[in-house]
Amino acid sequence: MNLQDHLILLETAGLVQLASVSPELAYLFRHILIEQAAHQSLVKSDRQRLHAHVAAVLEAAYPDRRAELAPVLALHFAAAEDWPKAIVYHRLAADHAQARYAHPEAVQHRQAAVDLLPPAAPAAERAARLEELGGALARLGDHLRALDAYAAALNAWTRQPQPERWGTARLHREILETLLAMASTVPVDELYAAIDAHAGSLAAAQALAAEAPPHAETVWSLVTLSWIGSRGWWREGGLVVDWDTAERCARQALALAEALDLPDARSAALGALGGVLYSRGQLRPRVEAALQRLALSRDARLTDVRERLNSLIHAGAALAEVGDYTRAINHLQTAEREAAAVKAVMPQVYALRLQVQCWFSLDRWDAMLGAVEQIRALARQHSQQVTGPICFELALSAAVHRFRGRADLAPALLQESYAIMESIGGPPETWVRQQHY
Amino acid sequence: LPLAAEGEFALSRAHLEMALDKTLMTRGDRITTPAGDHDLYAWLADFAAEQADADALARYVPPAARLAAAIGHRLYAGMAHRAQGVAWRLAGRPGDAAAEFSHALGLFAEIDAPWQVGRTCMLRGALAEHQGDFAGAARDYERALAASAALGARPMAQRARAGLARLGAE
Repeated sequence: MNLQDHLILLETAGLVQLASVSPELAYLFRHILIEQAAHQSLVKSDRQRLHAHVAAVLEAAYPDRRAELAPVLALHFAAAEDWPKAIVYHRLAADHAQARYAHPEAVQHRQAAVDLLPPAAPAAERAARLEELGGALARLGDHLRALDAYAAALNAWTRQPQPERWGTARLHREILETLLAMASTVPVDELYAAIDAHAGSLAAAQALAAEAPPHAETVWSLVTLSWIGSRGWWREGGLVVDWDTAERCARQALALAEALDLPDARSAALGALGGVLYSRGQLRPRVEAALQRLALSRDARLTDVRERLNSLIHAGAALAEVGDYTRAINHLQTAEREAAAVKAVMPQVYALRLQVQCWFSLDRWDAMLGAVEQIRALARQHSQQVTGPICFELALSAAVHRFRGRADLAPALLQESYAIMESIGGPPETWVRQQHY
Repeated sequence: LPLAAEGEFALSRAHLEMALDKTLMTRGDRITTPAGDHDLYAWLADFAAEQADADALARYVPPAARLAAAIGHRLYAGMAHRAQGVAWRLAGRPGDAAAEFSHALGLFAEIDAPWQVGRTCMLRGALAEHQGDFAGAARDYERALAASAALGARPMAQRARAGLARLGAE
């Protein structure tokens, strides 16, 4: 009997059913239990051999569809206990998912690539897989797990006899970036504990900045240190901000990025400079920095979509701060569209939040309520870690309903806003300044 | 304004004053940034104007005006001028008050902010009515009515209509 005869026999017996004939012939098991029974009835060696065979056929038959088939190939190679190839395809599947902003899927594949590493895997390889997992978790917004992954990566990396210095510097910097990203999404106690636990990363970045070797990693570390200085950092029991250091680091990063001709890093350095100018209340110079950054985003060599989104949002925010709402909205709408196109939810929500403030300031209430609805829709689809709390937008909606005399709508929204505020910041006495807004 | 709304302005002001206290308390350590000061003072001045609180206006309008001017923020400059107009009205200087309201209106019209235009027209209209300039008052109430109708702002529309009714203009 040939394959076709076998399939007809199985179909007649009611075990499988024809799923499609075009573009390719495909059959499905009629029930998951049938599939499991068939799979488990095979002795292990046969099962491994069959999985290896299927994987090899898929690899050979579809060389131009490997990224798309990577999740299936990874599963077959794993079942065949071909660990190196399973890891290769889990990584490829993760890259493919990441390119589509399918972050949960990317995390699953990165985690699998870590889990499949043999205990004797080289430290550098373990560190690399853990670093990739950390990146995927950070993009997902799961910062605490991202920190754990980066810390484990650093631990593996530094166990090598002579770890390459830029790898060490990059991992320290990624830990610091994750701590910065956590600031608005986790309770302050957790944040401060995490900062204490990773104090070594700050010291390492500061040492690199002091030496300032001409390298891209120096620029990125300076950018991160600038953000730490301007936003404030928990140190020795107190929150410390250091705008002088923040500005010095941003300007040093900018000069070095220009000298090394690194458009991505230059854009990030302008972002950091904008951050410290904001902290200092120098809002017009901040607009200039933001517009320079936006102009740079048109450089064909700047390929990082996130940097482009950040530059649009930075320009929108800076213009809104000085009351130039119409120009701000123009950039923010572009940012929102571009973020939605690549399913980058965090920047999409942030662009919408800023639009809400601009529309409110311009008394465009229907546009404002529309943007709030878009945020609420995204908040229903994603966790608060990704979208952030929406209390401010709800309070502004309540104000608009109040101005319209809609006493039926305003109180409930205000109450909802308060409930979110209290769940994050506790009672009003303990709120930080911005929370009172 | 209805009492409920007055209560909300008071509550809003109370929250912003807490924010300001926290700002000033921690400014020495630079934990808070001055970046948001212009927002804070602009809204505090606005709420003080809504509450017709002369002491609060004296406290909040000068920094609001200075910070808005420093960065060329037209919305906040307009709010500061309007609040100063209320301060002059409370101080018994209607001419100065009218000039501030007109200045604010010019800024709000430039940025095309109809709610702010309507609110300012209501204030200038009431001032004109009080001064016996009924034609001027009617023009302002009409303009406020048009702005509030476009926005669906029923409470302000009702107040504008009430003003027009008092003047026998509706």
